[in-house]
Amino acid sequence: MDLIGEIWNGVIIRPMINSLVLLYWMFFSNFGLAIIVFTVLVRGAMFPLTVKQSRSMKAMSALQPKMKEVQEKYKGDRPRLSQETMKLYKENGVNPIGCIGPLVLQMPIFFGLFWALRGTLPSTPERLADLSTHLYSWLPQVHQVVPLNGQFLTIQLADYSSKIQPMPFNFLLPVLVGASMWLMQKMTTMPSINQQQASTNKMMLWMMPLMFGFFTLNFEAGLALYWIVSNIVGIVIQGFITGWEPITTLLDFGRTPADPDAADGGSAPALSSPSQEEKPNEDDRDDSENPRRGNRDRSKGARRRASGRRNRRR
Amino acid sequence: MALLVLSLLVLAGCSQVESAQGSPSGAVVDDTLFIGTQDGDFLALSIETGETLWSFRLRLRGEKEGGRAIYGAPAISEGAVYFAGYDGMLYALTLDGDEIWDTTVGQSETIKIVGGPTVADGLVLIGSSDGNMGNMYAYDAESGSLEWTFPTDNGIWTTATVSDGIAYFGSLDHNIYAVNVTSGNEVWRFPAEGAVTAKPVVANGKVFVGSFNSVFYALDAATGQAAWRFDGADKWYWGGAIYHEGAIYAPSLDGNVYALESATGDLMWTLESDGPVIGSPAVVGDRLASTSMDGRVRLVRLAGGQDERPCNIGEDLRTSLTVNENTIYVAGDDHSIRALNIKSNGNPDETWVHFTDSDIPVPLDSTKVC
Repeated sequence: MDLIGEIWNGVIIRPMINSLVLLYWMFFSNFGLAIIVFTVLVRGAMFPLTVKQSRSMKAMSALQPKMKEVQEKYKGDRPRLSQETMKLYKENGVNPIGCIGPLVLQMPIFFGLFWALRGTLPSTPERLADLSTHLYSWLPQVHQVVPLNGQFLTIQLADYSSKIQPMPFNFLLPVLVGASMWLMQKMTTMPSINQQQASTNKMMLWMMPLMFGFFTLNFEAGLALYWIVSNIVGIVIQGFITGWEPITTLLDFGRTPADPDAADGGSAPALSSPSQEEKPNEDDRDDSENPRRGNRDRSKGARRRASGRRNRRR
Repeated sequence: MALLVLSLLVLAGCSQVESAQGSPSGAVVDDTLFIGTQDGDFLALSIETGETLWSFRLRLRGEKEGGRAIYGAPAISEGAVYFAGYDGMLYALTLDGDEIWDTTVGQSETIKIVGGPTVADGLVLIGSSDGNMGNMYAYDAESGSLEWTFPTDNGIWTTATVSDGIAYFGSLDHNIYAVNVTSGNEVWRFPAEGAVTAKPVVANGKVFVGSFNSVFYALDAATGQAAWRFDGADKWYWGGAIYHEGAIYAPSLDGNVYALESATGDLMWTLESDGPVIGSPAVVGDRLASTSMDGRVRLVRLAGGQDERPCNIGEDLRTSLTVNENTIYVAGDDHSIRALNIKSNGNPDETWVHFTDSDIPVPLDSTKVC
């Protein structure tokens, strides 16, 4: 266990703590800015994986109509169903678990940041003394700025979000975490191929933001700031890769009838429209050749017109 | 997503408010050891047996977590003992344990006290931190009334040292200050390029103190000009150094105690350990005693610095040592206070142990560590 602890500290915690303190030194002794820059750098480092995840997700989405066919065809034959499903994945070069890579990678970062924040903004004299053991002796700048000032826009980042004064600002960070996570979920949720998956997607769309918002109350405000910035960066990256339609659909709410799948929270609308379902592979090929193209190349007006035409066809 | 939820649940379990533990040191007067505990009590113990003569329960101001922790050593003067709690309460008791006065330092709910009090010229000096600010307060030793306040730009965790009417102390704002005890006016300040938590030591017209920039300074006590600096440490200086017969013994979080020539700052020898050295060392006879977070009390000859028969207590040791004749008193993170008699051959012999979290006497034979 000691060895695992040493590896964990040496590979995750110490680099994180030193990076945060160094960024604090570089960015005007402002720990909030340090966290924001740190988050952007982390998301930047994971950018290739995020792109891969998005493409994988998009490819999976494009396969949904075929998947539906396979499911209907082999309804009562479970072994054959899984065999044919895997065959379908293989034929189309899709890795069904390829989209969880960045998520898995985010876990140690999230855990590490939890401890790194506690170590960097210690709440007791004992923890401040411990900080000395984590700082690199060859990096004199990090020793000169200790102890760090955790104040950011009147928020003390070392305090729990629930302790932020005055009321009702203690709910501000949890709400922002929940809202940004909801948008992130909306951007990344795959289209549903049956009612069961649609209801699961809908549950996840609401449950995750609510859970994160609730837990944020009992986490340090600095961790909430990380999560908000991480979600915003994630939304922007996702938007550039797979298009902004989930968000523009939200903005269009009330002016055009909502996509049934989008309404139940179960799909990325750009990928589940009937026109696309008719030629999923062709559409997917176009985007995979130029992943940044997507719906970005279509003006908002064009998308509305297309949406209107689809509605008339129905 | 399940992974995320699981992570949240695990972190939520870890997400407990951390309490300050405290690292109290003691003071001996006549046959009594006065010392705080990690359990929120202030004790008077017999130095012969370790038995409790009296105890005083610290009051908890508000609902502060860890508010009863005690850092620093008590100050004893004119038949009274002064000590402070982490939550900002300053107490004055008679040596028999009767309360003379108490006060809420700074009258602030968020104030914290990490250093110990110092008594000089009829005043009790106590440093504090309040958010990102700090103050040195001077209270009348008899009445407890506030006489003056000296503000700094960050918390003051050091215990002040007074010499010739001047109080010397460091601040987390990276400065070392000299302040007139009577008036509370600044005499000089020295930019240390790092936070200062160590208690300064004054000798031969110089102020000796280490900083978080891993530099140990010798300053002219009158002007605050640097006389020399020692750059040999790898990590911060947290605990205060001590002076003895022309030498300075400076503990560092890099695990070493550096023996330096007080006149020049030249390194004489180094006492190494396997953990950070947080508390101040002490001189016992012709030996230096030092604790370390590796759980050992080490004794070395002042002349040579050779490590002799360490006493392995096996618990984190972060407090400064208290000395009375040939006995050292050391408090451990296992809530123990131990008396170690240093024999003439340098071997430590534990004479008693007092566990502050238990009323049940523990037979020494079963717990004797050296």
